[in-house]
Amino acid sequence: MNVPMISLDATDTDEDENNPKTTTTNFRRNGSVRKVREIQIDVSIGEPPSSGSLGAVISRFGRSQSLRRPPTAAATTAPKNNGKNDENLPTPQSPGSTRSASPSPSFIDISPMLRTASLRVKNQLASRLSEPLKKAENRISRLLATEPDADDEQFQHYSLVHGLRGFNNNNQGEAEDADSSSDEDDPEYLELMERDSIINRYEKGPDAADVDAWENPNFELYTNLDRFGFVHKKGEKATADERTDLQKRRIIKELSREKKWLKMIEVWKSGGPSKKMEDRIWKGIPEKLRIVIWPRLLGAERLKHERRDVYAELLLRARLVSKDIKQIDLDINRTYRDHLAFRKRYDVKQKSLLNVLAAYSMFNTEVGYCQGMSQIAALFLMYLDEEDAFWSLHQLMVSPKHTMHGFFVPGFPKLQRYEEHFKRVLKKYKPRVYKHLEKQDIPYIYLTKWWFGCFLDRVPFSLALRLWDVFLVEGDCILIAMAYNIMKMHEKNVRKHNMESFMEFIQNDIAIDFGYSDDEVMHSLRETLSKLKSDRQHVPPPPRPEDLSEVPTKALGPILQKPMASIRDEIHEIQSRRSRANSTGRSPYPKRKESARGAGAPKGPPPVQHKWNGNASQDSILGNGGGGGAGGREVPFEIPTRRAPNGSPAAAAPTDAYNNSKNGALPPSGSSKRDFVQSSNTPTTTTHSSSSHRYQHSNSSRGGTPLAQRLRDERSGQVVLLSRASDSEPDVGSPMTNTRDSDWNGSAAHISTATSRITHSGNHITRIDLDGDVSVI
Amino acid sequence: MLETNVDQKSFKFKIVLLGEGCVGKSSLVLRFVENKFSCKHLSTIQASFQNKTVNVEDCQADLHIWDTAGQEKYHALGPIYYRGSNGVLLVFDITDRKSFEKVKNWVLEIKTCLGNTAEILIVGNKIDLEEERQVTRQDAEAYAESEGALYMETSAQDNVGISDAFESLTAKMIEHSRTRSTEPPSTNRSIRLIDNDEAERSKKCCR
Repeated sequence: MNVPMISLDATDTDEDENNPKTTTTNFRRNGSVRKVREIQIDVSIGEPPSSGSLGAVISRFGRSQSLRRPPTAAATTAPKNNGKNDENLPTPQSPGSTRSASPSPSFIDISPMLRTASLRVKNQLASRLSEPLKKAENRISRLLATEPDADDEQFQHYSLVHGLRGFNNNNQGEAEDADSSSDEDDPEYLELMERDSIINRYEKGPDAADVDAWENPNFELYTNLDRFGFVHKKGEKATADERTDLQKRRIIKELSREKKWLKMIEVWKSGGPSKKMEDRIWKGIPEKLRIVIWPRLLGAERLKHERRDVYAELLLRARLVSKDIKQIDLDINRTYRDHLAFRKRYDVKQKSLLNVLAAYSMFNTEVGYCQGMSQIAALFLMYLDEEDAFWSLHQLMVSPKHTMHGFFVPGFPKLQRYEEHFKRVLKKYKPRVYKHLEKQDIPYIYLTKWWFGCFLDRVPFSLALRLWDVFLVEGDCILIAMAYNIMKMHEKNVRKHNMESFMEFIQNDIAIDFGYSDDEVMHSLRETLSKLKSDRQHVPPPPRPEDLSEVPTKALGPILQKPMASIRDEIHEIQSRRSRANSTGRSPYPKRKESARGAGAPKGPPPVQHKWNGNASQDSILGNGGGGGAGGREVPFEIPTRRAPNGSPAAAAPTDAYNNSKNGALPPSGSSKRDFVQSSNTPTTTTHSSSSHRYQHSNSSRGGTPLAQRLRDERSGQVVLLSRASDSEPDVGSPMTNTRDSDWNGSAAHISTATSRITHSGNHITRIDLDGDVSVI
Repeated sequence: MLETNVDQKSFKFKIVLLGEGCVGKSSLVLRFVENKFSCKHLSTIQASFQNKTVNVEDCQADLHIWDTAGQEKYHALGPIYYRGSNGVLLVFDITDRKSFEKVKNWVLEIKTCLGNTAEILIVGNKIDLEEERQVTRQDAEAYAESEGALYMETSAQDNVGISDAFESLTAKMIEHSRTRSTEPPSTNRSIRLIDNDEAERSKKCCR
């Protein structure tokens, strides 16, 4: 109450700016471990919060765009209907402040922007929020009563209850009915919640109680597992070579082949496969060796070693920010659920599938996630580990032989080009089939499914594997050749079919039984391909310059340039925009996050903290990232790779990039690496993304000595001096009374609690995390 | 081709299913055509075709049902699927408001591309999840009426309303087909449709 307010003027500011060497401390480290209750104040709304409309004011607030109001304008927004509180005890004491308050006066002087954060406004809001908070508390208590299990989430709920209780005790009365803000308010927030809940379900794994029963297949239906791991219904006809006599012969053959392959691999040091190996690949890579051969054929193995951290770093970020998580989750639920590895919901391989696809969605941002990729990734995951699968998927997308990017990128440019070419090929070599299809008016839409997954799901799986073996070696000429080969081998059938039966035949019949053995098909395919090659019809003409690019034109993995800290800040910012909903207890997720944050506060964990059971490398990253930014860790990222459209004559210019990609590599990562996070001791450390922006926080007060802290707004250079009562460690000896005083004279605000951090976001929202709550102005 | 006259008793119609991902398009078709429900094993299908004959009153109609991929990215292939459709089934999930908004986009697109040549049926699926409903029946009905479309609610899981939905769409298409065929006797509709479609395609490129 007797705290004098000291306004920092320009001199102070300069002084602070001259003093950049003070230790930067992570705010969260100093910040209390207590629950953060978030309050938002919209200064820009410019109307006194009248009792009824307060909820609306708050809810609108999160999206406020105009923030920097002149102080006078801000002053008018000070509550008028809260007069009695003004004089005496304007501070609602949050549980945090009570425990940590210091007898010493604390000062804060804030830039004009911050001045608007009137304590009164906060008080008023706090009191108005008390009713919803109580409701939330009741709800949670009920929850706890019914489910006494002390698992993670409940523990967190529990701690939340205490936080709320403490808060409410200090805020009796003044219950104001605030209508709940609608959930549709903030799409970003909703997306965040959705993403987080999906990720969490995968983290919990298949045994968590909240897996809907319907999401798991009815295992009793299946008794018969084939050699690839697919489960078949009882009595379902096994594919041709599963019959016992054939199977025996096949096993003997494969065993003898394995030996030859092992010898061959030993001498295969580098470069593409030899002629002999190609021949053998046409005969089929032994089942056991695909794990080695596939990534090498794709150049994924080398890429993985060159960019060791990229996958882990991507994954870490993708799980927090990928916009494709929802679609990926929907599709995982429908990807090879009849395969042993993917049949159990949220089981390890499903989690790997989520990881690979989510990471890739943040790597190749032009494609993101597109339906059809889940089958490919799943196929890789049947043989490869996550990281190999990731790089294999990437190579499949960008390597000049395959450029599946062109299929999956919006607009599907490659699909059109290949479809036109396929029609040409069919017309040239099988005119009668072509005419029949035209006459029956059969659209070529089956090609999409054929090509996007290289015939996965459209031919028997054993044949699809053989096709993939040669697809990886030969590249996309296989797509044209096999499509034509199907028409060729089934010419008689096709010409009998009308529209209905043709679609049935193409979609289902040949997928169950192709009608020829795999070896016959491969033999025919090889002949077809060499015929097409000799006629130069095996690939379509290159894309025209005006066509959509079939290779990535944007930098890969742009998210890697963003430090984890700023990602967390952004997430936090979205959360705090929604603080209203949080405090009314409408959504279970924010609560969990808040408490997760509180619990790990000494380490400065992210607001959203996931437990990483799956990938050991991630733990270290998380640990490193904890101490403010990414803790000086080098994170490689890609420089923009401008690559020419595949084979386009107009694109001869960037040959070097093209050559790079020819080798299956992107530009060498050595040259493209740079430190984007400097040592945390330098005040200018954190590079800021455009949308998040943190005050530097210099703190020399440890152990409760009240010392001024300087917060510097990096964007404007303004320095804010913040005097702290204590480091808000609850065990600081002296009994402290929190003195939050407001000497409101129209333009200045004093906040004298321990301030943990001030965040200033791109959309002009400044957030102050006080130890008890958060204000957004 | 598909031209008919008032006395005609047998018809052939092309129906395309459109709607956001995972609203149950494939499930609807599966239930309708094979009377099965599978809540999981369906992998994402990029374009699939089913065929079923229905009897409405004294007429027989052969339905060619085209099922499409739901992801936004496949939207670009929409014109290929719905070209020449007589009926469009726009499916949304009553527990997901976003999917309903998506239906509105589709209605706009269909109307621009196919004009009045196709009948639209809006289907609110997953009514077995009534307690999670986000789109009220009144809202959806009012919207459908304003667009001159039918509205039905279904549950592919519990097999509620699905054959009704296809049958009422068929009835409407028959009626449509009869009035059309009597009105402009000499027009070859399929050519006109292709023209429309081409126009729309160029529009889409510019977007």
